[in-house]
Amino acid sequence: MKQTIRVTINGRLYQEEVEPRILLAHFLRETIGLTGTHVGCVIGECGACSILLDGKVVKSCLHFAVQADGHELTTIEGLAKDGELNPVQEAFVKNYAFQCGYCTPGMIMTSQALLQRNPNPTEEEIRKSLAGNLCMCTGYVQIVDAVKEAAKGMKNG
Amino acid sequence: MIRFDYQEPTTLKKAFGLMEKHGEDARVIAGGTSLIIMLRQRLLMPKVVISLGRIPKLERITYKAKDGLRIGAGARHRDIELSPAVKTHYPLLHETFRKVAQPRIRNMGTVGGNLAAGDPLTDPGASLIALDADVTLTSSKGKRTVPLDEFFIDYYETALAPAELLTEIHVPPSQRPGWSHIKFTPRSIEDFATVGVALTLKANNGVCEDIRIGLNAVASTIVHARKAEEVLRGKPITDAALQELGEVASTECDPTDDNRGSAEYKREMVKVLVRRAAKEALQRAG
Amino acid sequence: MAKFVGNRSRSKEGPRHVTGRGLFTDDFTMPGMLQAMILRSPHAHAKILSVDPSEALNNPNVFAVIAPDDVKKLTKPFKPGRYAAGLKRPIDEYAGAVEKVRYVGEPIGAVAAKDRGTAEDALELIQVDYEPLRPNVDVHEAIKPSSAALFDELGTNLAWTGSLQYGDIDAAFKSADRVVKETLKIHRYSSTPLEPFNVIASYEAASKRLTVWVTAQVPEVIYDGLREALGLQDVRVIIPDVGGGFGQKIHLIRKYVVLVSLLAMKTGRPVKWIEDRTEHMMAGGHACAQEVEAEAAVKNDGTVLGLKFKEYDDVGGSISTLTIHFTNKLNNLSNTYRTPAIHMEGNAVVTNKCPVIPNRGIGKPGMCFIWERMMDRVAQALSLSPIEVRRKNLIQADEMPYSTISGNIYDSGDYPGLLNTLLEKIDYDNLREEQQRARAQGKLMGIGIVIGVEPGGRNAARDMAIFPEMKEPPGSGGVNGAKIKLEKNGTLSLHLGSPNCGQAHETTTAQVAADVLGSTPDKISTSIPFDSDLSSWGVAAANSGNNFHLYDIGAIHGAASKLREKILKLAAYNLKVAPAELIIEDSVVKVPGAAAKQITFAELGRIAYNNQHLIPDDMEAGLEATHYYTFPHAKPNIVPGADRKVRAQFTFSAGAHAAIVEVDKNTGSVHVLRYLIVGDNGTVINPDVVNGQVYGSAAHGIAVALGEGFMYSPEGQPLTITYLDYGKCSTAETPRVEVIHQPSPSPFTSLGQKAAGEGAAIPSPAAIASAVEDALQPYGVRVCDLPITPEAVWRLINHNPEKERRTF
Repeated sequence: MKQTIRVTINGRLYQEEVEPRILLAHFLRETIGLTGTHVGCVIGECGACSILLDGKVVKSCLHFAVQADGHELTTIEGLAKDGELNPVQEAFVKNYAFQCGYCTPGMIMTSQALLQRNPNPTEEEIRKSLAGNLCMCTGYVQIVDAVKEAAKGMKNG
Repeated sequence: MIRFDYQEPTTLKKAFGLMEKHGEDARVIAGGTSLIIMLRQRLLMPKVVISLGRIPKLERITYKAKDGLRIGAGARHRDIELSPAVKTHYPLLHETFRKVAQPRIRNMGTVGGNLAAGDPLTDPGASLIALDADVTLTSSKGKRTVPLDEFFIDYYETALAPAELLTEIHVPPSQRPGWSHIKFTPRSIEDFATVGVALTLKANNGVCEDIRIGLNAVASTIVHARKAEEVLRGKPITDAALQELGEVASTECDPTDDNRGSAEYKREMVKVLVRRAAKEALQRAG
Repeated sequence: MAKFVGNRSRSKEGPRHVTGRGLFTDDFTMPGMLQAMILRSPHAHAKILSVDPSEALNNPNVFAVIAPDDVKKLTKPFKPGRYAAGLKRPIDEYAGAVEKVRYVGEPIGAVAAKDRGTAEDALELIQVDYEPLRPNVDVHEAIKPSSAALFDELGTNLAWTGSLQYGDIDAAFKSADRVVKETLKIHRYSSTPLEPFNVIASYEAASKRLTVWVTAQVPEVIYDGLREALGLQDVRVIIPDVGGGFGQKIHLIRKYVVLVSLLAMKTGRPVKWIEDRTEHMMAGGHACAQEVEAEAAVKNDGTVLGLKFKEYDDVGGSISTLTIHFTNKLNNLSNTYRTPAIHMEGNAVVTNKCPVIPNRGIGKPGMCFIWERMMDRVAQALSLSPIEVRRKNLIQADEMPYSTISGNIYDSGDYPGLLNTLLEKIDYDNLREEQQRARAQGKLMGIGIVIGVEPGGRNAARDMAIFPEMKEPPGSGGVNGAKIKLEKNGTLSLHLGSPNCGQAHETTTAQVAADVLGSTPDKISTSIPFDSDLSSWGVAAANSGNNFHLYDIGAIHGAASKLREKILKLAAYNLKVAPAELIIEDSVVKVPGAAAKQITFAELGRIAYNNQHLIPDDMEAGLEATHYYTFPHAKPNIVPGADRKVRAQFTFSAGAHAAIVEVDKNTGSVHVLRYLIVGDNGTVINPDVVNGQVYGSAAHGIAVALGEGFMYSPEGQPLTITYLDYGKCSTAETPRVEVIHQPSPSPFTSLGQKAAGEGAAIPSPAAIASAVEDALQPYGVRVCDLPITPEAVWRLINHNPEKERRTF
């Protein structure tokens, strides 16, 4: 039985009919058409599907779309404004904090949330906070460097 | 993913009504993080999924000096980690919930959902047992209170009766100032513990006045290591006593061979880590 | 003069990846597209008795079911390719299992339905009857005559055995002062790319044209596989952004491309298949578990006169990748040493586990593990320092280019230099003193120093070394191309001949082209995806084998050079000067010092495509160039002869690694305190990109050594089918790898560049093993087996080996 849900995504209200069994990650990708959120393991271990729900990082593969009814979501597509990268995105580009790009949206959303609550994290804090986002390519060095640089950038406004 | 009907009752009474109506065909979802995986893997195939997400006040965390801490079953791991009352009065819980999975789970997974699942691998149950917690189980027939160490019965089996929900966790005022939490993960900190130890301790002049030990990932349920506690309670805390503490604790475990380690290794690690936890708790006991 | 090569340059791929606009296969939808799911075997070893899809087909939203009968009727088996070199009798391998299943998860059919949920439901309704057979999980048990044979045609599970010898090994062992022996074990693991397999197939029946979008590394495997299996002439393979490859997306994936294509042909609709993570972990392909008995013949001064090794490779339930872990050892057979005699024996054993695939480095980490563990062993036997023993045997910088006994020619390298810098940077002598102090306090600190070559640029004929009488040579050397075009508006557009999995091909080639053409990277764009109809590709078109630096850079450099000639000719004609008088600066062609004598790229573009009057009569219109690159120094030994010598690969990077660890004596946990690499990747085109490759490959090698890996039950059931079960490390456990560059540019490549993709994955497991063994020196134990889990270390410390082997 399909249900109607109303959910705000990147500042825009959407109203859609969904089957309860549709995962939020698939809803974003297939119903809404925002394919920046990726699915790597579909059971919440890799973090590729990380988005912000009411400002908090959640794994969209561990959520049914119906559970998002009435909530506000931010996906990777909601960060840049008119092609201008935000400080986290810019730091990722500059520092080569990605290779294949598959983990990147999730990695950025988690980094974004980290810096919003802890604007000056240590390397250890960054690593602990990103421990739920797996990357098979980079070995994480440049990712951690990017988050540090983004922190500086956000501090300097 | 299997097909199911999704219901979002707005009161507990309505939730019980749905649970009684659908019986075995229904499963309850709170944060959903563990249930959703089981549905995906077709380990559980309910026809109806009942969400508690719209029931108000289920996630409250309150603290009163005489009564202690009351955590609504809908409180998310993250809320417990961030609660000032928890950080001040129950540092063991703060540490435990800080380690439970990662922010993305902590932001969604609920403590009630965790305990009600009866998963012996997970951490909160062990720490709550080490703090003498009890749980309130509610149904349309009323409420009852069960000590947490009697709540876990077997793998994924708890004392919950059909159409009954775990609605609140009560942690009495902390009796023992010393504490330690060790989550031993040979690989990723994101993983379940290979051995988990939660320990609280009260000591005076090097003599143990009281002790509680909770262990997870080492048996078919979360373990309250009572026999080990007997070894140290009322006795001087010497190296030999700690050695015996670890040995007896390991006899109360029944770990399995799996990809995290052999049963033999896990048993040995219980010895090592219970000893370590007791030493750490002693330092904190002041 | 190089303005961009060698310097930092803004990433071209970055903007799309950080905004979620990467284009991965699953991001595409086609009109009327159906979703597929794969029917897989739940048994490790069984006969397929019957398959009945009728109940599944009752649902009108289920459009087609493919069963083993369809596979047998509608497809042909794959031709044994270069990976099945050495198989003396052909064994039919179809896209799906037809009579027997040989590993849990082996595909036996597929379903196409309106949506994923319906396809999942339909799978449950397909009735399959199996007759289970006894599974083989242990290599030594599997080769016993009493074991059930996986392939009746072979009659034994020892599917291949063979050996190669270079130099006079008998003389080496006869004249040795000592013979040092060791048995080493490496387990099954994988780089587990984050994006699982994906494919979309679409068939136009009237034109008989099949198009597939697929996340694959080597287009040739897909292209040939589809044509062989489906008998089609017109096949188009499109490869968009790939979310990690590492060797997992080369070979086994062709089965799924064929099955999904069959569904597309049967239904007349495009069909998409997305692999589940658990499917990938159980059936996507594993790196081979290898067991090696090694012997080194040495003189008392540490000189290694000869190396002998015999290996057993656990290749899993397929014969199609039988010998790759053995023959790949030819790539770094001598490592960095001048040892004059080597004898190698390989035994490929089929077992009821996931088939093996060429994961990052393939047999090379194994070969380096053999060498570097043996060097430590030799040092112990002769009471010499492990540094001394290595120094004694290293090829010197002034011996380059150096011909090894198996036919490789090392182009350049200063191995002693890398080692010296490494030791200096970690302050080796002081570190040993620190270790003594730590030991006195009961702490277990260890230092591991290893060195390894990283071969680059594949030779397609290499595998003939073990089977020179091969009827159909799988190719030889390497060929790949690239195209470059000056657009009408003066910008440049590149089209490469290979797909990519995130190694910054667009950024790197833009830097190269910018330097050759006097342009700037911001005016250069690369079009993706790879398209077999449009891309200039050949046998070396592969995001694997460390091919990019050689073939793709070579091709772009060549194409840019050709285009430069054309630009100068057209400019010269229009400026009425000789081409030799012209320079190009910032996309402007000019005579230095003559302000009036200049013409921009944009002006040239408008002429070349619009203005015939201004194009010389003897010149083709347009400004475009294609170049197919072959390595100009591929001879001798490009094709092995009777002496079996072969240029296994063509360029040779190298790295010296230092691992410093601390071991918890109670739990066995290993903590990496420091990991430093001094690397030679030749001319570094983009330092951030090369560093990224080194960090990533090192991190994985370290994680492999310390515990990630696959496990099976004695019944052949995979136990590690999620990332956490498998033991994937997170940011918290991964050490911050440090890299120092000390390049020896290649005299043979376009810019002196050498490989960087596989690199640090090759020596790192040996570095960790060496460091842990060093830490455990007070216990006098040897670290010979991977993985080095805390439990494994605990067992070594307590002299308490496993009673029953918990199979890997």
